[in-house]
Amino acid sequence: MSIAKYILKEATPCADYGKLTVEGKFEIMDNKKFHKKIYELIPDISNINSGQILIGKTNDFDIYIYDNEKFVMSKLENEHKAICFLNNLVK
Amino acid sequence: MKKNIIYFDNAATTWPKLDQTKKIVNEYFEECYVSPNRTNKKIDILTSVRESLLKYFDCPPNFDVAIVPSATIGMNVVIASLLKMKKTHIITTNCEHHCVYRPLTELNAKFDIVDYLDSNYNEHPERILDKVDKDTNAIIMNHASNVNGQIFDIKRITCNLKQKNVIFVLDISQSAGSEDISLKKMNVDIAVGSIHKHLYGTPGIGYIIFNKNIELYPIYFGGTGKFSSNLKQPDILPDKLEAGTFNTIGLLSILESLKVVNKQFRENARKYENELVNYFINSCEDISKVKIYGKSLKHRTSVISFNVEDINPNFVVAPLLEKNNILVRAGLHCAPIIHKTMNTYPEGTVRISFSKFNTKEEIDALVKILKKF
Repeated sequence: MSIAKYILKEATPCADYGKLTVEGKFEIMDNKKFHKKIYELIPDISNINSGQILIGKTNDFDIYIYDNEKFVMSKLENEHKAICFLNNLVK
Repeated sequence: MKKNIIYFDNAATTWPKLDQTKKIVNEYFEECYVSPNRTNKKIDILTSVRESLLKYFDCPPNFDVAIVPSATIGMNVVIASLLKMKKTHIITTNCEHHCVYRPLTELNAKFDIVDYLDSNYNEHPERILDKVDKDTNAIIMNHASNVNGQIFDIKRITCNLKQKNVIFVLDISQSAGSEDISLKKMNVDIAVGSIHKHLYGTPGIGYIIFNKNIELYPIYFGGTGKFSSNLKQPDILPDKLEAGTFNTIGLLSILESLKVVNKQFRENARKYENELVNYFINSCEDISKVKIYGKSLKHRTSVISFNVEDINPNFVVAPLLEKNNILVRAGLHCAPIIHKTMNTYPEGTVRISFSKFNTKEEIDALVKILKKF
């Protein structure tokens, strides 16, 4: 059973990151496992305002997670990279 | 009633609006305000709006006004018209909005961008005239930047422009209702603006105020309520630029706003908003991570751009403020080139902009959050 579900769509921020930005929502079934997994997958992760916003940085993208619910992934080469990461995160 | 929101995006559109605006908009639903130039009941809102705008912006006698759906559409009309003229080279600045850059680019215009943040131009704005050559048809520029709030000294440019036979187009979107604007004294040939910012009108109305000796051409066509036997667009200004049903609510709101936002109102609001700008700048003095752009500007509107060091303005600062019911705008603000000059490209900045309805307590709430970074 997966630890979360997600939906994803292309985002259009009022800034130019030169690459793709996507946004979406998580529906988390197991909060503890979800957090453990995200810290496993992204070693460089910081949090703002007691975890209200998690910021993860990788070579392929930056990810921002808001209140364990909404997320944005920026600096992506393509949507496939986002889907691979998210599928891995939620399984 | 301001509800539980701290609204700092008045450069996009002011909120709340004036009580008088709210009253007239409500009245629209009660009274039979017919569609201008259509119904047999004659209520000449259009003429009143045109006369009020010409008076408000102190226009020379040979000026007229076209009412369009937004300042952007107004600027599109102007640029498309300029490109139909004999000379087509256009000079603009790095401080403009996409309402200038995108039409110029899409219409394949030949144009030069002058770096107006460079001290060379900042201290000597008239040096833009050095760029004028025999093919130059027009200079298009902002009265005030929508990114850092800088107000430009237009008179110093236009006083030497007439003998060069160059049309001067001014975007007054950010300064209308905030600055005292005399198009006559500023020697402006065409001004484009909207009513929903510091004029406190409703969104959906823009205007082109123009010297009648300059030929403007429509970019969209259709019914004008006049000369209906003719399948071609009537060749009469301003009617030919005004195809389609008018935004009557917007016309009513601007009539009210122009009465209320008079010289005294502007003076008081400007003084108060300047106080808020200084209060915010001073409050951030001891927050080393907050960088304010253009904080030493002497002549400015209430627009301020800032960033928090190493923190993304779009994906972190703005969402965190939103969570606290503080509404701002983050990103490039449809003005990418000024951000390149400010070294804030591609992420942009967080922009706040005050109106007379903001308070120091609201700024305290914002500063309190910025201190947490």
